[in-house]
Amino acid sequence: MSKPRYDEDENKSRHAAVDEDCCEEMAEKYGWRLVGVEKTGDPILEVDCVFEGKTEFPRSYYDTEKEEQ
Amino acid sequence: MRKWIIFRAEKRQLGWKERKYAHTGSLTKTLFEHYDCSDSALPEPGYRPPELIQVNQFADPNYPEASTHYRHSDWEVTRVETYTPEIPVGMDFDVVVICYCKYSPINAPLKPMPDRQVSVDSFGGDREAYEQWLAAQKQPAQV
Repeated sequence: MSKPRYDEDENKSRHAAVDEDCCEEMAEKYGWRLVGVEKTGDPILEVDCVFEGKTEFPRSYYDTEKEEQ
Repeated sequence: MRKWIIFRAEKRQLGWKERKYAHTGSLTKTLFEHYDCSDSALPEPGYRPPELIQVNQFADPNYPEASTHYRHSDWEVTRVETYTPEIPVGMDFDVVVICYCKYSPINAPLKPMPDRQVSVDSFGGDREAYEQWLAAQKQPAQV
């Protein structure tokens, strides 16, 4: 698994999630700063997690495999 | 390091009657909170926590309650206190940080929110749920 990007600047990043605990788990897993959690109105991805800086999910071997299929 | 950063209004700041917990209606001086697992430096005096805003005309019908923009808030950190556990074993947080803030409106420019990213982490690691969601996105929209 590659290292996640984390460029601390004025940017924000937004990651959808099914609940607010997913946001904290992402912060813990990737070492990010969670600055906001808000409802989206979507029935599945019910919250947005807003992080400080430009963050991206690291591309896993699994994701790369899926795209190549 | 896991940090809970709380932004709290200084005494007698404008608009105190409107600052309430939505679920109880109780007045509060808490303005924002951050859950910080980064290595970034703690906020310092002068820092303004971000504010998320929805501009109705830009709202996404698929995510109708979500913010469309963000900006520096009208609250400015004036001093910072840090609290660390006496015995830092088995604790949820390594440090609790209280940032006292004064109301200092600046009418900061709005910046558009970035695109929403989705991955298996969006589903708490539930690969099957993520796969189902991906498959649903590929279905043609029903009219």
